[in-house]
Amino acid sequence: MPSENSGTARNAVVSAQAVSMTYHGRRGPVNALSRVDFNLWEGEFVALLGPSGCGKSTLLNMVSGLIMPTSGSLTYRGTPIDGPNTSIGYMTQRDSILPWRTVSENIELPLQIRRVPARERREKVATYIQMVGLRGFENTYPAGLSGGMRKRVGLAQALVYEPETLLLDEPFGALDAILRLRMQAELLSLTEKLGAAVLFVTHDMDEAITLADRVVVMSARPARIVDVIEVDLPRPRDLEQLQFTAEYQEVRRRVWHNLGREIHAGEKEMAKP
Amino acid sequence: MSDTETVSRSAVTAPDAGPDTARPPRKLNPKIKIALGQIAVVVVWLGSWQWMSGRVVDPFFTSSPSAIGQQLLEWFRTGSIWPHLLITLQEFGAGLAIGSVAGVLVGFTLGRLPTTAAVLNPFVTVVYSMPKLALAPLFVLWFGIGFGSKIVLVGLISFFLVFYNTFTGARDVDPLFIDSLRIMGANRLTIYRRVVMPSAAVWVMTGLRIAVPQAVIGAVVGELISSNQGVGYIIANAAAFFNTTGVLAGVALVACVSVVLSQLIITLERWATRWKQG
Ligand SMILES: Nc1ncnc2c1ncn2[C@@H]1O[C@H](COP(=O)(O)OP(=O)(O)O)[C@@H](O)[C@H]1O
Ligand SMILES: [Mg+2]
Repeated sequence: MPSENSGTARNAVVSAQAVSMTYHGRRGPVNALSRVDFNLWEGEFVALLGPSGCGKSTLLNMVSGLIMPTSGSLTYRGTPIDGPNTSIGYMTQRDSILPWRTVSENIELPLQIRRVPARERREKVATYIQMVGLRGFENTYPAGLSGGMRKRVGLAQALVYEPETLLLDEPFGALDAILRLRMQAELLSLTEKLGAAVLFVTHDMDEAITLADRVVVMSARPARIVDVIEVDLPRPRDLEQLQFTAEYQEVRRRVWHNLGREIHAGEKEMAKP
Repeated sequence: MSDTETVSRSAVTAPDAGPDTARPPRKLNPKIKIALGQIAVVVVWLGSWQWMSGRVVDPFFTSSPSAIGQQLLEWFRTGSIWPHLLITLQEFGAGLAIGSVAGVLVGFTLGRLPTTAAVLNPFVTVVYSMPKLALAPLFVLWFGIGFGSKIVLVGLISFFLVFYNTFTGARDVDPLFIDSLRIMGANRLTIYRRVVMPSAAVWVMTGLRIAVPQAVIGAVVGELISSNQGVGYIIANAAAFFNTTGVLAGVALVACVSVVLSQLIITLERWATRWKQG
């Protein structure tokens, strides 16, 4: 296991040992993950960085309990994951908000399912609508929203019940630069407040470095963990200024130097349809 | 001349816009255009029919729009058509209600039992493709010439249309929605209520929309084959006396009723799927 152990007595929320995944598609077997070893510690923010199609979403689907690894052991707080993992909030890559529910009804849904009293539900929904900047769209159906707005509904839906672990699959990909920065800042302050562990998929190196405690870099398919980089930038981070600091540039240079080439090679590889 | 004027004006206000972007001359609202076209079709159709009737063809065979209109007026003025119309509507309503409720229930149940659904799939397709109207004489034999045989016929027609669409809809649910709810902690019942049912509702409404005009036809054909009341009976009766006007007036009445009922169900469908508009 590369550089997993920082010496502290923290507990692992997610623990993967030699996890592999092979899909059996129509065009034969697809090797998506290859012997991945990985821990997500309590309260930790980990960015998964890798070329598209390498198996990042596959890993998140396994942690959420929607699919099982072909081999290896995958546990959540020490218990093997063998069904839908209800301790997590999962924002999937593809929109999963329900088209027949309005923005506020969608965000309210997990609270309804968890039998949260109506008054508390209303307060929570209002708070999170405010947070993702969708005030004024409470009663709009998803068909009336832009792609980026739908993503934010999905984010609010994953956050609203304040789970101890968050799986976020390219949550800010569809947002413009300014909104993205605002969402990133909101996400950081919220997860710091809740002490939630976050597994955050992105293929944007800067996003990974600005947000994460650790950046896990994956190779092109079948995904292996190529390297794990500790980002020891102090918290709380001022995202607007961070990119201009010398420390940030230093980390970025290190990541780029070691891995930039690998990611780029992978992306070119995957660009072929 | 006015063309060059428009172009030169646009060149002044928007120097880098090509002549293509110049404001086009005012055109007729397309909706009005379509409506005018439709009125023209009706006028030409009824007009030529009216004109030919008595000049080119014997009205004994083709009747005429004015005669048909008079017959309809007469029916409603004396009120003699009401009991028959009411009977037909009752057969339609009862048959559609029973058939579609059963269709929704069976469709949902089978649709969510993948193995059973796979076993039944070919049989469903066969029965679905069967011309149910052809069974009408049998139903008369089994259930008599009264209300019962028509309700069975209408019910069967509605059942299959609604069932087939519900069955397809219940199988068509995006698994991502189901997975997403399972992670939120939903049990089967909640998933059914929050995902499967609203998702399949679109299909149920489609089934109903197709079923309504078919159910009207079912009721009328049932009456045509054998009955002593209903609009179908009026048509059959007129036909027995070679009364072309009576037959066509009956057919026109059925068509009008069918259009009105279809419009109602389309409005209901639009309301039930209003989320599609955003
Ligand atoms: N259900 C599936 N059946 C077959 N192949 C799949 C399936 N899901 C994903 N794959 C394949 O596995 C690989 C990894 O997919 P994914 O985890 O979605 O990648 P990423 O999220 O890193 O872009 C891709 O090549 C994809 O085509
Ligand atoms: Mg992905």
